[in-house]
Amino acid sequence: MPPGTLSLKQRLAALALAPSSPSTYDNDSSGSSLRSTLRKKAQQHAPWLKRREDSTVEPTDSQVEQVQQVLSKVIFQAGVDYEVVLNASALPDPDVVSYDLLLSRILAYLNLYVEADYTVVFFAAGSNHTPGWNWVWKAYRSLSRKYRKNLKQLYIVHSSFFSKMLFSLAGAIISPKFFSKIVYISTLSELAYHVPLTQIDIPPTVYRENLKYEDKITLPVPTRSNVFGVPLEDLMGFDGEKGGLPRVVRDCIVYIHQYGLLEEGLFRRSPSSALLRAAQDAYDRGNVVTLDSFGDPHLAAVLLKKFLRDLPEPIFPESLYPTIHDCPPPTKDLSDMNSVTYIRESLLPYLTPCAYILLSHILQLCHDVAIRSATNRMDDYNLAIVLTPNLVHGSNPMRDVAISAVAGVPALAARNPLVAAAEGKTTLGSIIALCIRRYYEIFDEIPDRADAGGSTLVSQSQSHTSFLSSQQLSPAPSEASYVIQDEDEEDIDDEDYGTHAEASGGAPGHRSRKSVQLSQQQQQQQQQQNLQFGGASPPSAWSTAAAGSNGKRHRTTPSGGTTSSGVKSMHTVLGEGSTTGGVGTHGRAKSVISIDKGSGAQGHRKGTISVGRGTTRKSIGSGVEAVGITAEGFFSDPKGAPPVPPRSSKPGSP
Amino acid sequence: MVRTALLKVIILGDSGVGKTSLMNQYVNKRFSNQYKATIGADFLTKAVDVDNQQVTIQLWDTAGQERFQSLGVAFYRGADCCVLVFDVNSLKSFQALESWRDEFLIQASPSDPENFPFVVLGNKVDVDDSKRQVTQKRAMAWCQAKGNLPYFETSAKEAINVEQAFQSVAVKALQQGEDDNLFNDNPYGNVDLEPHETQAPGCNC
Repeated sequence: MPPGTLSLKQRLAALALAPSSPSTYDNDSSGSSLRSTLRKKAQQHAPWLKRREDSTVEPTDSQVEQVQQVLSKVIFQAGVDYEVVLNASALPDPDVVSYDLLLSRILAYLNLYVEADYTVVFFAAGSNHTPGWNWVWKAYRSLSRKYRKNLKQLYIVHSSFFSKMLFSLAGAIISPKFFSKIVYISTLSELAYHVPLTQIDIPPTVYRENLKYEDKITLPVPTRSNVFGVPLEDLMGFDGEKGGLPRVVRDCIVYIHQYGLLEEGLFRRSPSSALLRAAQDAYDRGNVVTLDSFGDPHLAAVLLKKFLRDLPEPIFPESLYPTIHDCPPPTKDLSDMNSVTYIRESLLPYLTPCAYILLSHILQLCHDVAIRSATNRMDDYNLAIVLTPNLVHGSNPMRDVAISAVAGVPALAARNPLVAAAEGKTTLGSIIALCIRRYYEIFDEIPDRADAGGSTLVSQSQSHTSFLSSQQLSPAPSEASYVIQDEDEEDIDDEDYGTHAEASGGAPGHRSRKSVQLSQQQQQQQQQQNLQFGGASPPSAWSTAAAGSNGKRHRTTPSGGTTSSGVKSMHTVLGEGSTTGGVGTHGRAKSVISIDKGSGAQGHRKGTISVGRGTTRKSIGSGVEAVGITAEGFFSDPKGAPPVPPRSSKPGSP
Repeated sequence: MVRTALLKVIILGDSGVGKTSLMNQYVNKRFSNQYKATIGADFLTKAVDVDNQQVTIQLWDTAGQERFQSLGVAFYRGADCCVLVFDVNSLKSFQALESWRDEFLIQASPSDPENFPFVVLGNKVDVDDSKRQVTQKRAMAWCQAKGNLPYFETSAKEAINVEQAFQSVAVKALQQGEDDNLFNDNPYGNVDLEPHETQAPGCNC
């Protein structure tokens, strides 16, 4: 047990820092520290444990890790009032994890709370593995008076036969007083009367179980913080000034980047509909949600689609259909800028700024999915087919289908009436496919996934806070260059750009500690070196936005950003030129970054766009005025290359 | 009746269970390894013999995408049979059958929902047994519970049972079609594709 002088938070942190990665079972290593804890505990509370331990194999590191891994699911804290949640459904297979060890860890965890009044919420149902009576008996015996004394209330939710037996037995035999603290709860709505439900990160199995008892969770005091079906302006602000992307969108994008990019059929296949609803309702309730616990990338992807679909005003309103139809038909030719220019200058400016921000984030995610289509089979066409219908919602559903068609996909029947209806006109589906394929040429700013990603670690505990703090942009049609700012807590003068741009010449030095795949997150780290960049002037049709004029459009945003302050990132546009960026980076073992046309000059993979981007930003700072990147090869088959891990590493990891 | 019966058959199921592939296998005797999502809906026709009677089956392949479910009314109406497809290697897709069935009955609003013919196909049985998540027994139990629906285990890839399954579909559809002929003489009639929409798109904006 950590020393009592530490604050609860520190002690929790210490506990959480214990190894948690899964590992294979091996018997030869030693887990001496834990063992000694165990032994001490055994002596303290349960003489039998000591006896037993002498005769059994000592806990190994791998056992400890396994226990640690399940521990965080079995028992965790909720809220601020010392509420401990025990989740029976996460109890592991007794053959895999040592229950003795688990017990000791649970007790250790409880030790953090027992000094003050505390409440326990016990989700009893949904357990696949019921611990033996023997273990329960041990557990009860180990709970000495101090654990019981400060327990204010024990809520047993969805009590099963097993837990009812267990607690009535305990109550009857041992302590009537303890028994009186037990409250049986049958639904989550009922639980909400007793504890702040929205602060509990409810496990999916519990949601599932709850469906057996009630259709919908209702809170005693309706604290609706709806996200689905709410006008985008209300969520983000017209210009996106309300703290960036809606919570659910941010969570989904971050989760998919971490775990879902390689999932086959991402955005196409369906998740469990019960869990999808549970997750959606949880967001609408304002509940803490960790998509990790749902563990299904399809759920995240479909949540995103559902969010788009539920918007009262679709991203592309019906009034834009003629504009869409007038777009020059997209071609495979990468030098063909007609449709790219049209989309940039004549279509996207009609979107509301918040819709533009949302769309650009989602399409960037799609782009990242599409460059891995060798693995996930979702290329730009497939993604456009499944995504586009969610972006329109006109008065005539047939028309929506027609405009969602994607040209170039052979239909089964020659006369597919729906696809044929749109023949001869460019469809939104084709445009979205092009946007996914050539994302970086069409969308100006690099939307700040970085913040969302960079704060995942923090967001575990504070997922209510908006991390992706404001980014502002003004998609005035004539201004091709947007400035995004993130995590900016102070106003920074426009002049800063110049000075910082110079300073950023030192960027390569910071870069050396980065792995080849520069994740957005890492970029953010680098930004913490206070790099700020002047804009690059885009080389092509939209070159109206010269580097020098960036300052005018730059708006600063005081925001509630929680991490680095004063960090400003200037996102620039990658055009169709073919300049090699990453000045001064070649030859650095860990930061080989190049932006190349076609095959990378140094043998780097094509398609690792995030790499290119990471560099570009910095190289821009070192005075390169126009950095171009070509999309050529982005969609070439990356089979030969290992999949690009999303935002692979945490700041500290290699 | 002299005319050739035209039977409308709707294929429903989650995304990626192989609806398009099944249709393609049945009609064109082809299987493509390509991974392509379906846009909106698509149909193929095929002439078959059922009890020495020539019938033309019009197979409507739908997109499994949730967004298109709202289009059901237009697609489903006038259907003579509904094929529910799931992937035997995906429990989720099996569990979704219930809602697909309900959805269909609500949207198509057939005259006799209790006895409307459904045929259930468990597809992708060619995939390794170890990956299988829905046993034949379980699937059959569900079909039994829903009114003794015919169940086939198919593989669009290996062309296993596809012919037999659709033959059964044709028989069911024909029975239904004969029952329904009073009400629905022309399966096309109810599919309002709104041809005026194919003209100038800017008109009503």
